[in-house]
Amino acid sequence: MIRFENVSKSYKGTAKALNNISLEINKGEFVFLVGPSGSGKTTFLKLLLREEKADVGQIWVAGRDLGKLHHWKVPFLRRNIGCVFQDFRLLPNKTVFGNVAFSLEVIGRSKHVVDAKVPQVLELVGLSHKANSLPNQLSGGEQQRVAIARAFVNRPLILLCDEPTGNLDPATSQGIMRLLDRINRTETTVLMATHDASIVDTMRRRVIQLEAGELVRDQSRGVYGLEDPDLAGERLTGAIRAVTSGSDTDELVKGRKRIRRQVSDVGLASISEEAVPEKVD
Amino acid sequence: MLSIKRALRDTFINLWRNAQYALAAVLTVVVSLSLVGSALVVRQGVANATSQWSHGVGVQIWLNANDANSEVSSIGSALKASPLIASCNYVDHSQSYQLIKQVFASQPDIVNVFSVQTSPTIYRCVLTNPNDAPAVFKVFHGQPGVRDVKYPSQAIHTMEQITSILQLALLGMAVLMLGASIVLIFMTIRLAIYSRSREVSVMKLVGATNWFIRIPFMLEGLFEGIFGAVLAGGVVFGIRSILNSVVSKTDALGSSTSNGPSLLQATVATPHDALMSAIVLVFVGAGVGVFGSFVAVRRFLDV
Repeated sequence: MIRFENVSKSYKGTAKALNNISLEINKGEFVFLVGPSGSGKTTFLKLLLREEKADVGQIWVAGRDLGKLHHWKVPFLRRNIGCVFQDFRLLPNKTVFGNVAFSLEVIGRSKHVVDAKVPQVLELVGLSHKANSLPNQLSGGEQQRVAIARAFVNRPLILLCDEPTGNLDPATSQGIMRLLDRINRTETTVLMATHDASIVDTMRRRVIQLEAGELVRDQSRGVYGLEDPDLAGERLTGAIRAVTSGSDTDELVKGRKRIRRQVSDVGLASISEEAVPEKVD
Repeated sequence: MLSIKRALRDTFINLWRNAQYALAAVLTVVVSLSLVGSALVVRQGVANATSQWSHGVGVQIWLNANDANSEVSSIGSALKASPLIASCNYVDHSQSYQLIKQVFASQPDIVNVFSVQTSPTIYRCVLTNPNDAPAVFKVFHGQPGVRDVKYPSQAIHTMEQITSILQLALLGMAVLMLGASIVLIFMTIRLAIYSRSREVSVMKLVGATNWFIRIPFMLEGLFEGIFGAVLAGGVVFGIRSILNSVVSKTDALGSSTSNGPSLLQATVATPHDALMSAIVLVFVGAGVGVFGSFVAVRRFLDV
């Protein structure tokens, strides 16, 4: 569905935004794209949408070689890719129905199709009863559901989500993730860039981590915070040492949390919960 | 179907939202195209006058009213003998008087000055070559019995000079104003693009084609251009009919002939000419609108 072959991209006068990235994402996968700000996540998404072109290497999306894709064919590529953003990007003067219908109308779908498809997708995101509301009458979570409905109404092959839960509280975020999971089960490939560790850790899906433009991790059933198993081992040892020798209560609590996280990250069978001292006397 | 309706609706929403800017753009188009149109009409009028006078009567030889018949006939035979002249037509006292009565029908004071006897007799001659008029003038001017020799090419020449200066001035201003119209339409469209940037970004995102996004903005420019041009066409018609009424009131004796409108009258373009100019204006206006909006769309829409 998505394939990167030795892709590099740099902007004028700056270091490489992406350096020699090769990876493949199959149809129906759910992938988290993680990494700090400036690590190249946005560039990655822009390359997929052909908002930017790769300097080196080849990118295939939905069977198209983006390097050879004619300028005028880009819109047709984008019809296969739904996009969801942190800031929702709804049109404030259109109703929920209007916002979702808009994305069908502007690609020339008939009124008949619009009237059939929009209620379906609003049903899917659970907003049938708010079809006539304006975006400013909705909560953040509801607005994001509208945005997802708009991205999904044309049944794209790929759904790109750029920090879709960035503006939402944890409970609402969970609802959004359930929705994305449901969409993913319709064989839609979901690629989600995020900073939300707890979501990544609970979902346990493939994780692709970028750091300064390098692909540093590509792990199936991964978690958010793992950079490198060896490094994680060292941190674990450090954390245990801190717990066993520390006297400050705050430090102890933090240390214990860190150990638990690292243990679950590494998934080492040999270190069980019991191995971590709950209390140091 | 849906998309045509949609494009038109979006266009009019844009026009309505930026009504003040659209109005400014339209008014500039009106002024500039009125200048262009006036230049065209003046040019056409002069062309009409020139062609009429060079293909019609070439030279008029005015004789003294109380001329003896012998002088009239000797001038007549000299004219006939001259290789420069193709044919002549003698206007005698009574014909001349009829002509005067006809031309000055609305001014009986002038008609009363003349009688059949005092009306000047005229030889109206068609030249073999219209450009020989000055030569004919030299031969017959000052001959006994000849009061005056008139030919229109002098007048036409002077008039052509005046009108070509006038046309240049009009066209120069028109070009400046056309530039201003393009810039104003460009700015109006830029504003429209900015005010709809959210919609445009969503359209790009969900895969609307470039032309689908561009067309409403280009149509907006086109409408502004055409609307301005139609108004300018009206202005041109108005100017023509005002000129026409002024000219027909103040037409002078000397330039009048029996077989067509006077020189001055001919200079006022016909309604047909004005219509042709108006059609040209609509095309120019459409071009201005499309050009201005296309540049804006190319620069600010980034699709």
